This record gives sequence, structure tokens and C-alpha cells, in this order.
Amino acid sequence: MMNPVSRISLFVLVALVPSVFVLLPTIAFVANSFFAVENGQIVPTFTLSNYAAFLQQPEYWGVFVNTLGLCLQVSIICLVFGLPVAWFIWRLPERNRYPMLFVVILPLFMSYVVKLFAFRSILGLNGFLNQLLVASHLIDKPQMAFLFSRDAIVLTQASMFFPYMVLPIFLNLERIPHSLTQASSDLGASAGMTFREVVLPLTMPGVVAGLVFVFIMSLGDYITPQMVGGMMGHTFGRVVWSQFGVTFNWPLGASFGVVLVLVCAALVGAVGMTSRQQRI
Amino acid sequence: MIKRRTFLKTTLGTGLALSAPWVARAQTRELRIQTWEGYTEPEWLKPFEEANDVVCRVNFTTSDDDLFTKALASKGGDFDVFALNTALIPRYVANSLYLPIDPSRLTNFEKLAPAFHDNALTVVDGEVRSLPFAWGSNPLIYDQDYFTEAPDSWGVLWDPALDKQVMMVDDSSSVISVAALYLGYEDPFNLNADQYAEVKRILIEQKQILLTYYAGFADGVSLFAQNGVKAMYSMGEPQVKELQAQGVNAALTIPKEKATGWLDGWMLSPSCRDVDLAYAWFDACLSQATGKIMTEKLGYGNTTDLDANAAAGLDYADKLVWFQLAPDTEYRTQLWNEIKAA
Amino acid sequence: MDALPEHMNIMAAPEPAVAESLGGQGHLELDQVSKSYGHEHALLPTSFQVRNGEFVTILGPSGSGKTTILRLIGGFTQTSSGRILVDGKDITRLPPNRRPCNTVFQDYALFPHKSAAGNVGYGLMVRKVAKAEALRRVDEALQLVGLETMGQKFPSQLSGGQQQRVALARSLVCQPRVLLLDEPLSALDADMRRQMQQFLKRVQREIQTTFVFVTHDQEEAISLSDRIVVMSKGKVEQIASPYEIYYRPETHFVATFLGDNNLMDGTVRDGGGVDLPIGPVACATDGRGKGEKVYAAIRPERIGLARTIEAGKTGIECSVAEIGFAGAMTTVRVRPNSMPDLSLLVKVTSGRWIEDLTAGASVFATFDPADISVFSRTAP
Repeated sequence: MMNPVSRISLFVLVALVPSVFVLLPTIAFVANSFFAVENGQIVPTFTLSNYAAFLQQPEYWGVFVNTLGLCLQVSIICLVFGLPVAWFIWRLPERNRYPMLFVVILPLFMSYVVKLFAFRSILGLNGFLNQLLVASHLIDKPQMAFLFSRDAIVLTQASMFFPYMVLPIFLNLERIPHSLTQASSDLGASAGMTFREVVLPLTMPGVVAGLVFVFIMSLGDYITPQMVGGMMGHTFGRVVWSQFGVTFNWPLGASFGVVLVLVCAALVGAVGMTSRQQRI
Repeated sequence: MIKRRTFLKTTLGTGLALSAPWVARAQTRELRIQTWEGYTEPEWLKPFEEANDVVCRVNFTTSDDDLFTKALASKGGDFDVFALNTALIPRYVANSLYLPIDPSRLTNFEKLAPAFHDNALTVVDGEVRSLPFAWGSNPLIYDQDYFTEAPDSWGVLWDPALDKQVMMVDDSSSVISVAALYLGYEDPFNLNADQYAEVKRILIEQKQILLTYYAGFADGVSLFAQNGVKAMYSMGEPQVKELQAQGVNAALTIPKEKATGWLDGWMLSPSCRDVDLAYAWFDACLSQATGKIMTEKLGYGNTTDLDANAAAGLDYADKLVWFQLAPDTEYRTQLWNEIKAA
Repeated sequence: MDALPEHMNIMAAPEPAVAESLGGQGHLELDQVSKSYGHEHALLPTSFQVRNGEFVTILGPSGSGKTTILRLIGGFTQTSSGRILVDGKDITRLPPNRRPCNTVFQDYALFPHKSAAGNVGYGLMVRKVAKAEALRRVDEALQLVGLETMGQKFPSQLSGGQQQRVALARSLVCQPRVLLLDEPLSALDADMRRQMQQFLKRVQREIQTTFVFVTHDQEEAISLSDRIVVMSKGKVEQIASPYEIYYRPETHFVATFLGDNNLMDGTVRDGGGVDLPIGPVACATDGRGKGEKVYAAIRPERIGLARTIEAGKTGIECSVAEIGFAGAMTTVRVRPNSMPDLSLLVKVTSGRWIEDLTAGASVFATFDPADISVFSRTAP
């Protein structure tokens, strides 16, 4: 048995690492968003002007709204493809299930940048997709249209974040006892009805988790839009980056970051509330 | 100096041979160099160390901002000499993070080519603040298979005939400066409101035909090679070589509107511990031999040996507008965000 | 609101109308049905029939193939050979949702996201039964299982016994021809289990549906069933009424699996009767030939103990080896004086003279030869 003193000191020791490396930077970050910049130097005062700038200038909040739309699109596409894939893997015989899951999440072991370059070379003018389409006589000559567009961002992000949708849904499916789908079938439901009435409702927590994962990752991704988005690649992530990496206006960038965090937190909170009402 | 060494030798004698390393450290002079990689190559660093019996402690700069933060924190106390982009000199001047250089103490100052000897960024009010050492440019890179002769104007990057075949870099200061040059503005780093409006207008117009804003050095090369790009604003001369390596018949040119260039120079820290040694280092760097080796080995333009520059194709230093720190970088970033959001 | 105590709900008699709308008797036939996984035989070719309205229990230890049979009937596992027929119709290749059977799963398999009423109404909803009728039938089914006030509760808010009854109502509302119950009481505690046994039996009597009930609990099987199918190692050992299974075992497995038994090696005598270690006994031998090696079994409670032997009765002189008092009954182990190596287990009603009995005392063990069942010693 541990005495209270050593238990408390152990707690402090364990809590120290996360507080030093997570809590403190976050606090510093939030504090920064209320600071100002004068003559290229950050002045620790208290001002709301950074947040005002965000709300007043359409090149900030307008891009933000656009970016939210983009992230939503990516999340929904991931869901539309991820749910059937997760379901398919779940239905596989046990000996094939985990190898197949591994295949789906394999890209996660690859560097993010490598994947981006791979996508660019696939979609590019001299890329695989164009060669394939030309070879199959679907188009006469290579098209530039596949790369550097909003669709290219959506496609690339959806592909890259796809495993983050499949994983939580699959893990959720794994938690559904087989007796439930058997009971549904036993009671007269077709496979489709069983999916709609039993599997889908019980998978909602996984679906929601996947949506949140993909949405947040897409929202925070400032490299993919630049790499494959071309003229459409100006997303909120880029705006934030420009404040940190170009202008060194950290307070303004921090305020944008706080806005991002708040939106993500609100999203997770809302999702948590709906899934609690689900009794699952 | 020799005297001191002789003195030590004769008084301490060979009996202290065992403690020789300690002795050596105590007596040898030291020069602390803060620099970008490539400016302290062994070809000139080693001879300098031997000739002056000095040990150089070299610290490489990772970013302009890191360097500034470091210099600000220690008042330059961490190094004796440092290499800096001449565009940033005003920042250091404003914070007294430099010492003026006395050219009369340098044998090689007069070796500087005219474009660098009286450079407006380095010599202000007769005060020599930095010694130009290496330079490069942001030329126009084009595909020779498409252009039979070098395009003479930045206008090709606005040419509707090159729809989705031209690129710019994703960097506010580069893009705004080159647009200003194209518009014929004398000083692309000091623009008035009307000029900014015009710059913004043509950059938004340019978005119609741009393939993309590329993100970095290698990114520009791979995009150019993979997507049939015909012309782009370049981040620097080495992109040409890399494009050629990828099979693109690429070449560079400085259009008639001029191009931006970067110029790095050596500066003296206010906390320099051994000013004599610092001047010796400056002289070593300004020797024509050093300049020649640097150009041949690294491909940077040098400031003393014009023949070596010409041999490497770097014959256009006089057609460049050296980068300066715009007084309104925040506004430029905002403008850039507006352009991209448009 | 809180539920009534379980036993009160169970005792509430269902309305006669309820029984009618939930009824559905079906005749089930298994014809040489088998199941194997590679070289593993989960079920050897098996045939038996279940009559309309019959309560048949499949009894066996784990791994005996009893659950396999149920899954084959339900359609969750495909047969390797043979046919399954309900009311003469071959359902062997039908998917579960098209079979006239419903299953009550061991873990109840209630849908956690649906209320009790939602669970019960599930089969009606997927069959697109009109809303008003579906509501009426759900109410009836909930009433049958005594949960009419719990319709809006979710499974997580119900006790184990209540969940069990929701599962039962959910299956019955579909009016199955055959109801399959897969060890439905195994997760309940002993008290609840007894109550649910009575309840199941009563429901089955009310609605007269054919029940196929799987269990490993011998007492449960004996007290509930019209007939019992005893299984071991993927094959049927015996199919018979509980009484016969208990008193007329036909295999060594059946004789020893259910409760205590006295088993002796024997040989069939010329002209009837069996030679046993305790001497020749004139018991029925079902036409077995002379010299056939058999087992003879007699239940401990079918042996009597007496201080003295009445004239005309067979009695074996024994000495008491061990006495175990267990309330109403007392278990006595005795050894025949002629065969001290043999030990017989005797269960007698505790009486005053038994209290005086001590180890080593001399007693007579008496029995009626008709209580001895004889079966072959070689496996069939």
C-alpha cells in the first residue's frame, strides 16, 4: 500500500509531463492571441483586436467558412466509402479480417509528404491517371484538370484520411455481438434491413468518431491544399500558417488557432452529446 | 603574437609536454562564426586557421528569425562575425547589433566589384555595415523547347497563351516584388497604396492562368518537370540545374524589368572578442581565390572575381534589385491572403 | 417506475386471446442432418421429429452438438448433409429470415438501441405489419410475458429476467411454427432460473407452440420437456420422455449423465434375466440373446433398505459403508457381503430407523427387478 504522500508525489510526477508539454504551451498559445505586435515585436498586452480582425476581414472568415465546407465534403466522402469498406472487412472470415484491415491502414505507415507527392504524380499532366485515360482512349490528350483544383484537394485528403474513418467504424462494428445481426435475420429482416435497423444505428458512435477525426485532420491540414489545390489551395490552414511562417504575427495566428480549436471542441462536444442520447 | 608564443615556449619548456593540450587551448585564438552553411568551406577556412593559428567555432544559422532572436538575446555575444542577408541589416542597425567596419583595415576591400563596393544596402552614410560575399537571383526559368529565344519580360507569366503552364512561388514578398517590377515600379520594396492596388489587380488577374503557387525549391522543380510548365518565377539559379537533371531543357533569364536578388554579407558583432582576427577573416573571404572557389563549388555568385561569375553564367548582378525588408510586411501578408482568397 | 416483483408478474395469467394470436404449432423433422468443419464432426447424421406443440429439450454437455442442431434449424449454420423440414416443407437452404422458426438467444441478443416494445415489434416492423395491428400484437406479447408496463424501457434498464422475457416475446410475436431456445436460462441466478422455468412451461402450454429447447442442465430438461434428446460427442444417445431417459437409459452415457445411478456389468441368461455380480436377477432383457454382455442400471432411490427381509422379496445382505444425511433423503452406501468390492448407492426417505444406522451395520438391500434397466455394453 502506498502512503498518501508518495501517492501524491507520484501523481505530480506523472502529471508533470503532460502539463509541461501540453498544458503550458496551450496556455501560452491562448495568451498570445490576446497580445499585440508592435514594430515586429510581440507586446504582451490584452487586446481583442486579433479576434476583431478575424471577424471583420472576409479574407479570413470567408476562407474559414469555405474551408469548413471543404472539410465537411472530405468527411462525407470518407464516410460514404469508409462505412461500406469497414462493413465489408467486418463481414470477412476471421482469418482474413485483420490482414485486410491492415492493408487498409497501411498507408498510415507512409510519410505524409511522400503520399502527397505520390498523389501529385498520379494526378499530374504526365501522371498515371492521364496515361491510363489516354491509353484507354477515354481522352485524346493528357488533361491538367485532375490536379490543382478543389476536387483534387477533396480527393487527396479523402484518400489520405480514409483509414481514420475506417478504423473507428470497424472497431465499433467489432463490438456488435454477432447474435444481434443473427437475431435481426431470425426475426425476418433482410441483410439490407439488418444493416439499416441494427448495424447502422449501433455503428453511429464509430461513424461520428470517424467524421470528427477526418474533419479535424482536414481542418488542420495546411500542406495538402497548397500542394494539390493550385489556385483553390487557399484554405484557413494556409492563412494561419502565413501569420506564423511569413508575417511572424503570432498573436493574430494564435487567435485564428484558438478559433480552430473552439470549432473543433464545439464539434466534439456536440457529437458527445448526441451519442450519449443514443444509449449505446 | 609571435613573442607571446616564444615566451611560452621558452619559459614553460618541454617539461609541460603532458599538459600541452591545455596549453594549446589557452594560447590559441578563437573566432566564433555564425553563418549559413556553405560560407565556411574548408577550402578557405582551413588556410585561414593555419595562417592565423586560430580555431574557428562555426555555428550554422537555421533561419533568419532564429538568428535575430539569438542576437537580440545576447546582444551578439554568441559570435564574433556573422553572415546575414543584406536585406535584414536595418533590423540589426535598429537594435545596435552590429559594429561599423573600417575598410582601411582590410587589404581586400577594394577587390569588391563595383556593384558590391558601393552597395546602398551595405554602405549607408559612408558607414560600411556589411561586406557583400555571396549572391543569387530570382530569375525567370523557361523551357527552351517552347521558347526559341529567352523571353525578355515577366509578361510571359501573364500570357493567356500559357494557360496552366506558368507558376509563381507561394511567398508574399517574392510575388509582390516581381509584380511590382513587372509594373515598372522603381522600388518594389516600398510601394504606395495605388501601387499596391495595381499589384493586387494584376496578381488576381494572373490567377486565371497560373497552374499553381509552388511551395518550395524542390516542389517547383518537380511540378515544372511533371506538368509541362513553360515558365516560372524561380527561387534561385540551382533550380535550372535540377530541371536539366530531370530532362527539362530549362534555362534562366533576367527579364528587362530586372529581377530580385539576394545578397549576403559578413558583419561584425558588437560583442566581438578579437576584432583583429575578425578583420583577418573578412580579408580571407574577400580574396578573389575564395570567391572563385565558392562560385565553382557552390554556384553562388561571388563579389570579387567577376570572371569566375561569368564562367558560371552569373553575369547579371547589375540587373538585380537586391532584396530589402519592406516596411509593411504585415500588410503584404494580408494583401497576399486577399489575393489568394479572391 | 419500478417493476413488480418478478414472481408476481409471472403468476399473472394471460388472457385467452393472447394465446390465440401468438400460437403456432409446427412439425419439425431432421432427416440425416449432419455438420462438419473440415474433418471435425460437430454433428453426425441425425434424424428425429418434433411433433406439433411438443416441448423437446436437447440435452448434452458442452461440445455435444446440441447448439449446432439449434443453429442448423435456425439457419445460422449450413448443414453439411441432410434435410430439415417444417410442416413437411424443406427449409434446409432457406436463409434465417425466411424460416418459420424464431430463436431466443443465449445472450438474449436484444437490440440495445430499441425499447422493449421496439424490440418486440421488430419482427412485425420488418414484415411491414400495419401499425395498429403491430401495436396490438406487441401489447399482447408484452402482456403474455408480464411486461406490459415496461414497453418504453431500454434493455439496459431491465433486469436479466425481464430481458429474457422481452426476448421471448420478441420471438413469439412473429408466430413461429417452431421456437428455438438456446440455453436461455443459463445467465440467470438459481432463483430466477426456477421461476423462468415455470414461466416458460406455462407459456408453452398456453400458446401450444412447438419448443426446441437446448440446455446442459439435466434437472431443467427433465422438469420442462415432453421429450428429451440426449446428445454426446455429436451424436444422439437417446430420445425419450424424461421418465424413460431417467429410468430406462439405453446407453452408458445417458445412464451416468443424469443424476446418480448404480451400474453393474451383466450377462444375459438363458431364458431371460441377467447374471449380475449380486446374483441372477429376473429383469426384462428386451429379447437379448444368451450370453450378451450388458449393463444393468438401477437408480439409488429404487433400492430399499431393511433390517429384516420379508418373505417373497429379494434382498441382498449388505453392510453399511457410508451414511450421508441430506434432509428429506438420506444417501447410504452399502457393500454386498457376497461382493465386498461392489458398492451400491441407496437413497431412502429419512426415517427414524435410519438415524440409528451406523457404518458397519448389517442391512438388506431390496429392489424390484422391474426397476432394473438393461442395455448393451457394446456401443451402438
